[in-house]
Formats: sequence, C-alpha cells, structure tokens
Amino acid sequence: MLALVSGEPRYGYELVSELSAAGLIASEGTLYPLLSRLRKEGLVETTWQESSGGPPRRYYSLTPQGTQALTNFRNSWRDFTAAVDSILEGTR
Amino acid sequence: MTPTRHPLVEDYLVQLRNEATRLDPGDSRELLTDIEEHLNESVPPDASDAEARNALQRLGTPRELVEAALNAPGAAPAPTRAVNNRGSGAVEAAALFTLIGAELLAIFWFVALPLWLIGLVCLALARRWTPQLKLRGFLGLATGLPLAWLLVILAAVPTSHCTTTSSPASGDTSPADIQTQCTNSVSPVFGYVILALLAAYFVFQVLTVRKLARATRSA
Repeated sequence: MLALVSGEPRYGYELVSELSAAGLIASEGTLYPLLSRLRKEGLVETTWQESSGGPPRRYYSLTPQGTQALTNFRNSWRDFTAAVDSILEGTR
Repeated sequence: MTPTRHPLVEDYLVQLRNEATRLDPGDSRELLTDIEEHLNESVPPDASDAEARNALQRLGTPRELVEAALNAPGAAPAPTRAVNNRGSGAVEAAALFTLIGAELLAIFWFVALPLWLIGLVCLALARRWTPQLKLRGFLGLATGLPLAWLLVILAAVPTSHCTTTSSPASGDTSPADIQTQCTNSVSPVFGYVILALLAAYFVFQVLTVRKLARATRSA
C-alpha cells in the first residue's frame, strides 16, 4: 500500500482497484480502514482535490515517515525473499 | 451536492450506516465517506443491477468493513464480544489435585504446605467455578490440611495420665510389684463425637470434590 502511494498522490478508488486487479485483496472495502490507519500513524497524508465533473477526491501521499517505513520494509522484504529463495534452491 | 445513486448502493449505504454505529464517531464518518466515494466511482447511477451487485460484492459486506475498521490498531475498542473466557479447566484440575495432595501428604509439611498454597491460588483463579463453588471448595477442601495438622498435634498430646508405683522396701523389684495406674482425662463419649464429626467432614469432602470435578468438566 505504501509503495502504491510512493509515486504521485493517488486517490482511494484508484489504489483499491489496482490492488484488487493484482488479486491481492479479497474485499476491496477493507482497504479503507487500512488507509485510515496509515493516516493515523502518520505514514500517509491526505489532500482533497477537485475531480473533473465529480465530487472532490481524497488523495493519499507518503509522509517522510511513510517513506522511511517503506524503505525499511523494502530492505527486510529483500532479506526475507533472499532467505526463502536460498532455502527453496537448496531443497530442489 | 448529493449525487444520485443506484438503489442497490443506497441500500448498501443504509446498512453500512447501521453497522458503523459500533465504531467511534470519527472512524464511522471516515469509513462512510471513503465508501461513498468508492461507490460513486465504481457504480454510476445508470449502472445495471448486475454491475452494481458485482461492485458491491467486491467491496465486501457492511459487516466485514466495520469489522476491519474495528480490528485496525488504534480504532475504538470493539464492543464486548462473546469470548470463551472459561479457560481449559487446567487451573481447576490443578486446584483439586494440589489440595487433595496437600491433605494426603500432611505429615510431610514441606511438601504439603507449598501444594496447599498453590491449591489456594488455583482455587482463587479458577474461572469455571462460581464464587459459591469456590467457597465450597475452600470449606470442603482447603480446610483439609489445617485440620489434618490439628489432628496430628492433638494425637501427640497425652490424653491419659499414668502413674507407676513400686514398693520401695523390697531390694529386687519384680514386675509384679510395679503398679501402673492410668486415668483417662478425656471421656470416651467425646472421642466418639470427634470420630463422627470427622466421618461427616470426610463425606463432605468427597461430595465437594465430586461437585467441583463436575463443574470443571461441564464447561
């Protein structure tokens, strides 16, 4: 989720649709409480922006703290996948 | 401006609003805003019923969303849910075994005393027993060790006085010359009463153990 908002600010529906299309979530709606939690933890921030011909949308973007959390996660994820890969290679 | 919505979406939002009353007002408002926004994007007012149903299905039921919001860390505490907080029964079993063990091993006080203390703690912590049952356990089982000790002490106290006399005149004392006189300081009736009380107490103990064991299993 943090990685998805690490580029340009995205709005909720866009994020949810992307994760849903990737087959990563079972029910789309549960992503909103997650986003709300990330905002409360100060990892993402939201801004309201006008949309073309519709009500304003809430856009999510990373805070510096969120960027740091994402970097930490990327590193530990890399270590984790490397460890799992080496086990899988070793047992093949 | 409130955008016109598909009827199915309207129904869904009504249900969501009802479910969201379980959330803290701030969380509730936020969830509703997010979901309304999502549905405005995913289900245009002129969408077919099948399209609307499909989008709502992918979103999840109102209950699922509220559960997700409740389980998010930092969310308002969930209302009390039915949780099995009656434990595995191990604490109750431990209370029974340690208290019975303490009583049986009463003369080995260095074993009995720790067992008895553990038993008392387990009795206090037992969640499968009602306060009444705990009181019964205390009266019928935890009193066993102190009572056993009391009996040991009483048994050690002489209950009869004996005086031995021998005739001082004769030079060699033959056993026939020695006279022993004993007087019982406790009447035999009192002994029977004590025995009857002990027997009654023992029956009470057995019944207590049976009752507590049943309450442990029937959880």
